[in-house]
Amino acid sequence: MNHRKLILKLFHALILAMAVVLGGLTACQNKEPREAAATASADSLGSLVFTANGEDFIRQGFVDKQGWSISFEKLYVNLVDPTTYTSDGQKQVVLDGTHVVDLAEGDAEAEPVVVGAVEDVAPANFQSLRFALKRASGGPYAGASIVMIGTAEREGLSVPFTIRLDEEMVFDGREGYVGEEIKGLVQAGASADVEMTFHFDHVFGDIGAPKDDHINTGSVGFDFFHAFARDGVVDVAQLELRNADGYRTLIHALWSLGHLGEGHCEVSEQSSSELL
Amino acid sequence: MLMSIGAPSSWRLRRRAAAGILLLAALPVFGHGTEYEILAGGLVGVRAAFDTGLPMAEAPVLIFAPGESGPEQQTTTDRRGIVCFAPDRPGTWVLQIRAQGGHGMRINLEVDESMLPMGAERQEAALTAWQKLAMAACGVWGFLGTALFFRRRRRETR
Repeated sequence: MNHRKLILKLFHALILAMAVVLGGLTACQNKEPREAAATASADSLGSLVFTANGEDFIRQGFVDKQGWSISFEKLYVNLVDPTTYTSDGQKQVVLDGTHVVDLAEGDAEAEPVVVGAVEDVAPANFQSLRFALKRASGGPYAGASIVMIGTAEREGLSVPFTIRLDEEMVFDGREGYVGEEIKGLVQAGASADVEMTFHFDHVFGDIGAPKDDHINTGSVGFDFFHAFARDGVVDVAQLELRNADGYRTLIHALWSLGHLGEGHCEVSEQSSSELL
Repeated sequence: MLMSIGAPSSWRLRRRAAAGILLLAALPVFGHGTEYEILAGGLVGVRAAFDTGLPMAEAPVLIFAPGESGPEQQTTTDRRGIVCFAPDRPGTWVLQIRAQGGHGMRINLEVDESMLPMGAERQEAALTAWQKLAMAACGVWGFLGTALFFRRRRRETR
């Protein structure tokens, strides 16, 4: 009888031990995310790289809607305070200051231009990005927000151009980057990037797109600028373009330059807002 | 794992939201000349269209799971611009729909735990190998211990 009681006690003790072990394992597993979150705030930070991209249109050139083969030597944009932020707006990272970027930098296969980086960023999904184009306060192109320098060729005619634009605006891509990947996803100990993308085909059009595509119906083409050529050279500032037919179309095209990949940005604070 | 299937029934978001089915929230559309509406019918379904009303037909779609920088699934919209998928975890799912001419649309869909169809399976999958082993050992010991107990009892009563 005593023997039977002993076996029973042993049996109950073992079942109890198993239950305790199982409970412990389950509890440990459930606590993992909480522990991970606690350590992330202490020592697991990442970094954010801000890039600017004129895409192949700028690096490789293109044929505009009127048949001009356009290539760029330089394409400067004056970026101010690019700011990336989470969708709820709770966290943001600012690359302070003014950044003059040449979107034509590098060869035809060059990567997007690095504008700057911010270290020690707490992990988060910085999917949204806001950036301003403002007039440069100094330098050779003071007063300009965008400077396009290059050559346009058509039917044996080669026209060097320098086009200085002073339109100011703020682009805001709240919904995030549209492309092959998710950008701005900062993880502990890793670097993520966010990209300001500029679609200059919106200004010139694209002979490869249908005529009724918005790229062509909403652009001015190089003919618009060629009308201001002197001695075979276009060297023009926005102020001189004001009275030309198509000026409003040009301004609206500039307001649609800013993208995150293929994702459109909302535009605000335009200096030519009277043309809304 | 996600899967792509045919189009669901086409209730509009307002009707579906009122009925409390499937999706909790969707952030606004992002893209020039594009718009979307969320459909219902057992899976997450989205119909993408240009602002002219024309569907973004047979457009490439990348679907990103929450917290992932690479796509979980690549598919295309059908001729009506519809794409469907079955999220297997809560969080913000991202759909990127791209059409010809540089149009791009990104949709950020907030998926809630209650919207996941595989609750029981997910709970089982959440157990570790050690937990499963311990559970199996408990079961075996239970049967063995009970058998030994009754065997011993029979012997004693003889």
